[in-house]
Amino acid sequence: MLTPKSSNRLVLVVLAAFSVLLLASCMNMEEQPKLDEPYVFDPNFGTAWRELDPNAIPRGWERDDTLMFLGTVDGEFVNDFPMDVDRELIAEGQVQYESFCTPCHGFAGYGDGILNEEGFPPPASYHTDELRAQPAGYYFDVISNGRGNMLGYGARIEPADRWAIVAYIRALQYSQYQVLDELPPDLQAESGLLNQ
Amino acid sequence: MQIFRPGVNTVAKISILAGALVTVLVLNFLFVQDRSPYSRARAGIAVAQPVRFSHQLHSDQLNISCNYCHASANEYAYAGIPDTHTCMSCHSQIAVYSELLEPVRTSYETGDPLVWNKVHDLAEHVYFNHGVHVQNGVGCETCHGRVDQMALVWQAETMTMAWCLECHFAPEDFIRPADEIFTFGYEPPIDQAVLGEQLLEEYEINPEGLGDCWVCHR
Ligand code: HEC
Ligand code: HEC
Ligand code: HEC
Ligand code: HEC
Ligand code: HEC
Ligand code: HEC
Repeated sequence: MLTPKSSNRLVLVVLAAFSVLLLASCMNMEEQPKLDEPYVFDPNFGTAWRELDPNAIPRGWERDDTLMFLGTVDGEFVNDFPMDVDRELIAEGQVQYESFCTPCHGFAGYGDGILNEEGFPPPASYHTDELRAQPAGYYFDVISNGRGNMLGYGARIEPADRWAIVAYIRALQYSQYQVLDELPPDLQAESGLLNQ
Repeated sequence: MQIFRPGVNTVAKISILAGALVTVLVLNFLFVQDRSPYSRARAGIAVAQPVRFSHQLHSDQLNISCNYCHASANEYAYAGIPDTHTCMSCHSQIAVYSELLEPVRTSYETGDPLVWNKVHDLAEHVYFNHGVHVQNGVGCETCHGRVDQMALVWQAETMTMAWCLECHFAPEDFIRPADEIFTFGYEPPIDQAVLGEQLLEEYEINPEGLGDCWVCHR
């Protein structure tokens, strides 16, 4: 039940809330926060962007799913993908691969990118028995954290896109290493290798 | 003694009128000048930077994708400027003794970001979003010009409201197929009128309402 007194108080609370809203709307369009400076002034909090508490986990950044975010299950790299590998994923992988990897690894993955000529130590070709045998999770880990002279790309490529790149590398590996007998008959004929 | 002769009345009237006229002219000049491409001081003038980073070298000669450094342009509002980690992914091994790169190495070691000077800077009452444009057929070149040929970046277009609206009123004249977004030196086909209509459908762009004030001022 609302006593007269409590309803007065209710009115006050509503008024107070309303005036806060009014004040908020005084934030002028000229002063919208923008990416001008690393720290943008915010009248409510002092700074809008602040260093995260090292223990805080931003929403969407839980890392419980180790396959998705680390490429591991029970601490071991696995040869598995956290999503279905289809044409769409591989196509996205190609876009990403050609944006980030070709300068060193080359378009077909032989480690013959343009930066070799500029003096970057060439990486290994993907088309070796050793690398074909590496599990998908290993590739995911190298992209995320780097290896040797290669710095990591984890900060710039989202996990799902990293997996797309792994799928595309697998496609490259298949494209360069096929057993003729295992191809469908029409492709065997097309290859022009049958009668040699 | 009479200080002001009768003729002064006319002089006074004229000077009031002239004053008003001059004021109007000055305001008009300022107004027109503000919109003139020539006085948009930013347009066409290369901006000095703390490190002489050349897009011509990195994008054209080395053929490094814009995505390598501005990946968020594809999806997000800001294209973003790369951090020094990005530079060091190559310069940890390349041109390691170059003096030009000294600030990059220092920044990488200390963690203090390089402070690049902004080339483009829309008024703050304007909302802009890269992702929407990149995913709807507007190439980087359409708005930024031949960045791949610039040793230091300058603003290629005036970026006035009229300039934005020229396209928002008729996007079909400007949009490209999705695989040409990163092409520089793109020549629109002769049948752009046909292709444009086709692309509008493909991207599901509805030009109706793209000129509404709230699209850009929100
Ligand atoms: C700036 C040059 C450069 C770029 C760009 C680059 N890498 Fe590398 N990568 C290297 C080098 C050098 C190595 C060899 C590192 C070592 O073992 O010392 C390497 C190694 C690797 C390996 C491990 C190979 C092995 O021998 O086990 C994988 C996998 C790999 N890179 C994937 C990628 C992918 C995927 C991308 C794109 C997201 C990429 N790299 C981008 C230079 C680069
Ligand atoms: C190797 C990294 C790298 C690559 C690749 C790269 N950029 Fe940049 N870009 C930068 C850096 C660093 C700046 C800031 C310094 C400057 O303005 O020159 C910048 C600035 C810009 C600016 C001006 C930003 C402003 O201040 O308003 C534009 C526009 C731009 N880049 C477009 C492109 C386009 C288009 C491509 C592809 C052709 C590209 N960039 C490729 C690193 C890169
Ligand atoms: C994908 C590899 C790559 C990335 C990423 C990269 N560079 Fe370069 N950069 C090169 C190469 C290759 C050269 C040519 C080196 C030479 O001339 O020997 C070069 C040359 C330069 C030079 C001229 C050096 C000299 O002494 O002539 C500068 C300055 C430079 N880069 C700045 C940057 C900055 C700043 C960034 C980060 C925004 C960056 N680079 C990112 C590959 C890269
Ligand atoms: C529809 C026009 C348009 C297109 C297309 C466009 N840009 Fe921009 N770009 C702008 C405007 C406008 C700004 C200034 C934004 C501001 O000041 O808030 C800008 C700013 C930038 C900046 C400075 C950093 C930032 O995010 O503000 C970079 C880098 C950049 N653009 C790169 C690119 C690249 C790379 C592409 C192609 C993938 C691209 N732009 C496509 C209009 C465009
Ligand atoms: C060359 C063509 C072109 C230019 C130049 C251009 N735009 Fe656009 N803009 C588009 C297209 C195409 C769309 C996508 C419409 C859609 O999704 O239906 C769009 C969408 C937008 C949207 C998003 C609308 C929404 O519904 O979210 C904003 C905001 C916007 N533009 C602002 C600007 C501003 C500000 C400028 C000038 C700095 C500008 N645009 C210049 C073509 C252009
Ligand atoms: C396509 C995006 C876009 C749309 C739609 C748009 N504007 Fe603008 N407007 C801009 C840009 C960009 C500027 C900043 C121009 C500058 O920096 O000079 C601007 C600036 C302004 C200014 C500030 C004065 C000036 O000219 O610099 C006013 C007022 C304005 N717009 C009113 C409107 C009104 C009213 C409408 C609707 C009829 C509208 N705008 C629609 C992009 C847009």
